[in-house]
Amino acid sequence: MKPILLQGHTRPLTQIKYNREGDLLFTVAKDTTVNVWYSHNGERLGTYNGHMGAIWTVDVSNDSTLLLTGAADNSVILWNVKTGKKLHKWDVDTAVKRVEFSPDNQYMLFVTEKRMGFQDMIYIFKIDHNSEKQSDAPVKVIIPGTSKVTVAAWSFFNKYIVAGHEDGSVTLYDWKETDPEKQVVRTKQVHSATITDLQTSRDKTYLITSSKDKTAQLLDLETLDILKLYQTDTSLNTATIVPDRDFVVLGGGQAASEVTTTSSHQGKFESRFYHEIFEHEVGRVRGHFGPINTVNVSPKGDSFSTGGEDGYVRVHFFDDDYFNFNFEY
Amino acid sequence: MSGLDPNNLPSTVDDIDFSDLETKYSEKFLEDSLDNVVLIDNLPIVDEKKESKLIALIKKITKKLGEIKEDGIHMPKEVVDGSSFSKGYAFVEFLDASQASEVIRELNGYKLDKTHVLEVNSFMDVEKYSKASDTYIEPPHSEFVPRDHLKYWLMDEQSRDQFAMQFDQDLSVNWNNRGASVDNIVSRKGWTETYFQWSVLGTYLTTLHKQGAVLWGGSSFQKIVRFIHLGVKLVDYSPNETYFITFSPEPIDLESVDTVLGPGNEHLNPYTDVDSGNHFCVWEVRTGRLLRSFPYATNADGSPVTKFGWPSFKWSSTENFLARVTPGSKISIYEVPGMGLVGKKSLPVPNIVNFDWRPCNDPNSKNKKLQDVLAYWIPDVDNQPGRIVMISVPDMTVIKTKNIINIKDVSFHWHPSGQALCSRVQRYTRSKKSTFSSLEIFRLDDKSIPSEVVELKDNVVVFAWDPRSNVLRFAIIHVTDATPPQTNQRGMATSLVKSNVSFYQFIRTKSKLATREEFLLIKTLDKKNTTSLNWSPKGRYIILSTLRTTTAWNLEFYDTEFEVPNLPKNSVSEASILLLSASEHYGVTDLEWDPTGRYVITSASAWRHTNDNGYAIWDFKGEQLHKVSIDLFKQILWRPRPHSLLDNSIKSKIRKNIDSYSEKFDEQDRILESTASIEQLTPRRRLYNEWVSWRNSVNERVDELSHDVPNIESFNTSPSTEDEEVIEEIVEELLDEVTEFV
Repeated sequence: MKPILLQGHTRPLTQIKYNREGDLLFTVAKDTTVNVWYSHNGERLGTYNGHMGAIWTVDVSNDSTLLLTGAADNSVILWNVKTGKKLHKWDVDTAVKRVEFSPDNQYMLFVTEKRMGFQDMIYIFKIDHNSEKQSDAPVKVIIPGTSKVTVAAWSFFNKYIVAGHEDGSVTLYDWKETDPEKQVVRTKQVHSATITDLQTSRDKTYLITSSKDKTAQLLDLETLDILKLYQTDTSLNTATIVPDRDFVVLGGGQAASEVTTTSSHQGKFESRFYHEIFEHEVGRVRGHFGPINTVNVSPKGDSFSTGGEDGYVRVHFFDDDYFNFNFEY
Repeated sequence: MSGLDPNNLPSTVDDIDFSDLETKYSEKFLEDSLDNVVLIDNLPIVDEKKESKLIALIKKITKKLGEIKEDGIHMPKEVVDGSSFSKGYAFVEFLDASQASEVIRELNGYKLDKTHVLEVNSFMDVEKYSKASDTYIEPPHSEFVPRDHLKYWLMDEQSRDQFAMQFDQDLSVNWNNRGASVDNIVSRKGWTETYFQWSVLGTYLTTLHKQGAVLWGGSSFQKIVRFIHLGVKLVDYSPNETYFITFSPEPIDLESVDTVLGPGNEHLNPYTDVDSGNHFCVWEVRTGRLLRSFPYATNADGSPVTKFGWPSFKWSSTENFLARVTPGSKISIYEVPGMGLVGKKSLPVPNIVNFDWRPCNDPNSKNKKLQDVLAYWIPDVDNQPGRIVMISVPDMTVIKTKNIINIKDVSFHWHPSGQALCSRVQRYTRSKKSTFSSLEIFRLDDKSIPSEVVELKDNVVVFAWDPRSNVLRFAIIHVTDATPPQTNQRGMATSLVKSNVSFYQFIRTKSKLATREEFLLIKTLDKKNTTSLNWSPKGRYIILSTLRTTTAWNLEFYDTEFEVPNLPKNSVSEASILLLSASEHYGVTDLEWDPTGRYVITSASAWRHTNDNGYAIWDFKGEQLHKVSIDLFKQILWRPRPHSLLDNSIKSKIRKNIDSYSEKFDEQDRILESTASIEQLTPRRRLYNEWVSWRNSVNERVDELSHDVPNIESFNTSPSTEDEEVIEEIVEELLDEVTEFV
């Protein structure tokens, strides 16, 4: 089936996210707009306007009522998904690179960048569901103090927060621990270059990391043991785990500055499907003419979307070949 | 000086013991002054009257080789029956040692006349050998070290081929498993410092190092022999791997070789004074012995020729001769392994540009008579037409000459069997403003060596023979403008040249009146961008490829013998040239058939560019079987095989009964495939089971933890299927509206 091209951004995409049911797709880009689309036909439902800088990250709550966005204007905004109303704005010291609701919607985490003398931090806020007003005081702040944090995510039952670093290491934090010395449960050197994306499985018991070192790796979220390694031939910007099927999807490509010559296949701007267990590449989907910055699979399992450096979001519906594909074992 | 006693001084000079000083200084003195002196023996014995004549003769024959010092000829005489006669030898003193060594090399064995063959030696040698001990000392007995079978890879049960591959610092040798996978045999880090090369028949793997070249072989890739040649850059083998040639831009320096060998190992230094300053070395592979070293060829003005094609020393197919051209003046042909000039002098060929030996890839060749033949060419000079000449060696008789006018350039393309020579002649048009090509094809399988000419309107840039000997067929790439396209620093063409590819075949038609023999055009494929033609080593199949360009990477696999129904004998048909498949390998820089013509490797080398380096294996029909991307991938080469030992009648017999043979191999294939699939599936099964058990353990752990979690429902992250609403939209689109008046 022909993919749907979503033309709602004028600058490179930074993150895209389906809601839990997979009927809505939220997209953010460096152009300061947040878009929401019907995922089945690509019709734009609306935009959320209010950020003043490039938006780096987006997340939607489990019940699809709240939307969280973090941007380079050093702020995080909580929106009402339905009305588009700005519910609260947190101002922090530096750009916000990653936000995520906890799986039970009670907490939020913000990852802020290390810049201009400010430390990189992971803020944890509690959501007050009974009032529109939200507290400006975080319930906890984790200051990693080691290599710069680039991405972070919640674990099952809010037990841990897992973070990926610029030096390729992954750290597991017991965020409830009050003694900062004891917050780090374990650290593992996983990649040899910066970690660009970290997404968890649906049950949040394992995760996939993508890195500039051309690999993506599957880790146990508690032990941080490396379960699988997916070797590619290009630096990766994003990776996601396909729910219900044994696949992972990776995206990346040569950075714009490195693409010097003419051919489009030289840039390797394809989404790559790998078998989750056997680590074999099983397919590629072409289309973007710039690196893929973000990929997400619909929780319904019928489609996946990619956001590219070229400013487009492509929604691909899986065809019969995909559903009939069986890896012999 | 403990013996010096002031009270007991020696009374006369004769009493002083000088022996310690003599031993200390005498030899040193001799070495310094006498290594420019040579001893010429076997001179005619002359009386005083003829003495000056003989001295003049000596001066004459040494004139070109070195300058004799004033009064440098000393001829001992003896008095017999009252008149003085020379003793039949002379000491000749030259200006320096290098001239002396040149004289020794060139004049030793020189035929003065029928009875006088000169023996020329260094005076220092006379000294050395006269001092040699008379008692025989048995050389140390070296222990026998068993070696691997050097041709073991030919005995592979599945007749697989090997290839060697280099990436980053690693060099590895691998088996090709039907293109589907590779089995690593050996892999070593830093095995070679620059590049590697197989020997011509595949027996040795050559690695290059700062100190020299090393040959490896056998099943464990042991070191077979090493050749010390500092800074070696280029190497070449003789056709049967008996000899090995190395070239280094650094002149040979005995002392630095000693330094590399380390103290106490000076006896391993293969070089002597005559080698110092030379650049080319010829070695014997089996013994590792240096046969001779050579300096650069010299131009007419005495300056060295530092730009030359490689191989610059070319072997005759029998390995009996080794030859090098000095552009403009001569071909020097050396006898092997004696390494002396054939006939004691170079073959003078004024204005010669280049030459090539006739090859012979078939050891069972019937035509043994013409075995050592070489062809050379001369351009037009002073209204004399240019010439292509074939001579047989060592008698140097001219067996064929052809005059051609307006030659710009000639390149020789011998058919690998040696039965034909195509001279690709680039010629000026009458106006001299543009060029065109003509192919002068000589057939040596006929005694009269007839030549046929294929004249083209445009320029032939690539010529390739179908390597089979039973059919004379070739392919060419021809273009309107012969100027090569622009390239970047790494030799990648940055623009494409539109080219045409044509196929020709030799046809002999016999009628009652005459026999027509000619090369007929089979087909021209036009408007291509092909830069390279690669015939399968077994003939028939050919790949047209676009290599080393930054914009196109086409690979086209052709069958040139597709069966055309009702094609009359001795005729050709366009339909027999059939495209089997067209593909692309992004960034391809090199292409090589395996020696059996079953598989093809295309590769993208990091020496040329840094995008998508790696290689791909294809079958002969152009189906890609295997592709690997490796960062810093540099070089991949199939291991060559020796020539087949079967003669043509056995080969055709096998071809006739191919069905009965293939049955056996098909059965083998089936067995292999089923074991391969089991081999592949078992680890997958295991991985799958591991994954399932890991998932189960994680689920148990999560279940356990969930008991302590309040409001567990809120953690549900699966999509709810309740109150899902399907809205069906019907969109009507107005495609066209027509109003009709009735």
